[in-house]
Amino acid sequence: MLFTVNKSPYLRGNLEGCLRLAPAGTPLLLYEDGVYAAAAGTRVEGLLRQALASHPVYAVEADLKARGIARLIEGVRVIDYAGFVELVEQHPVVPWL
Amino acid sequence: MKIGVMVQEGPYQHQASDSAWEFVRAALARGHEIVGVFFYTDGVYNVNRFMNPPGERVIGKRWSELGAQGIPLVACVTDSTYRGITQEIAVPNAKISGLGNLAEFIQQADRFVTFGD
Amino acid sequence: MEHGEPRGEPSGAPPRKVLVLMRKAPYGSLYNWEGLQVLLIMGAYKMQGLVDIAVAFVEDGVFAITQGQDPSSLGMKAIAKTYPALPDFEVDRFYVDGQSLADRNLTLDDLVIKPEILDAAGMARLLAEQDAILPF
Repeated sequence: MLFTVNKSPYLRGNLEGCLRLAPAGTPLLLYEDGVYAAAAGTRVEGLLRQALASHPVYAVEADLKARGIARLIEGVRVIDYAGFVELVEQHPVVPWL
Repeated sequence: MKIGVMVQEGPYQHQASDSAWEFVRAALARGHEIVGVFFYTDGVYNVNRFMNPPGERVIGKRWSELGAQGIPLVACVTDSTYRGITQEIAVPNAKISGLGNLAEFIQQADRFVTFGD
Repeated sequence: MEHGEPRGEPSGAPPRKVLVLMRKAPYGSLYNWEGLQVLLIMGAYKMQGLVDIAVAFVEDGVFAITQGQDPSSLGMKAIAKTYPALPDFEVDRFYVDGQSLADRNLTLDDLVIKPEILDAAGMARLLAEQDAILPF
């Protein structure tokens, strides 16, 4: 399974919601406004660190760049759309939109 | 691998359509077959041929170009009817058709990815 | 049916496992209604042995199946009334996330159908079994 999250963690509970259900080891993909969760030093850094403790966490580069997010929490893996596709090759998608 | 895609939001207002388009292009570049793109709910607006944003990406045209490469593009007929989208105003290579197409895409696909709100 | 009948040929392959994942509340947006339409068409494909279909209610999706809904003042269709009829359309596997019910002070008695209650691990297993998950 690949959980995909496209909502800001400040406004919406999507990231928290999928973390409750995603078994350890299940990858999470942040894209669109979901990538705001990857920024370092924020109120939600603890939530993402908790995610990183048991899941690989990916963030789409174009979405980070568009939003000017440069300083990321250590451990977040930045990928392009080819990387997104590669994850989909490996895992069926659970869209947590 | 065979991949199916659903788009649940209209163009411009939400990033879903852009994300889906980027995903489809990247999947094709990696040698995958896109069995179809199904436009559902407000997603049916993606096939409006009269989109005309000054100096901007023309989302309908972009989809139509993917359709020209043989990727089936289907906008749900019921949702299109609700929103005044008809075959006459659809971009070339897009078909206004039934929800059964979604089922067909799912049945054919190894993976299915939804973009929406 | 306005959506057309299945055209696919039974391939002998096992049916694709499809889950409609309801996470949004009704009326504020149309997603539940659209998810219901998908359930109805998938029921027709299930009859042909082409798909296996289930529906799970998680987070605000549980509001789709609460009793006492009356959107007549909004001029909208009563969505919840359709769920009990779904088994007639070959859709009979209903699941609900127990935590989402508890969070909203709801129990099975508050619902128009009686879905199987799953804990987090059970829901994760259900999600993991699917070939395609359609979010609404």
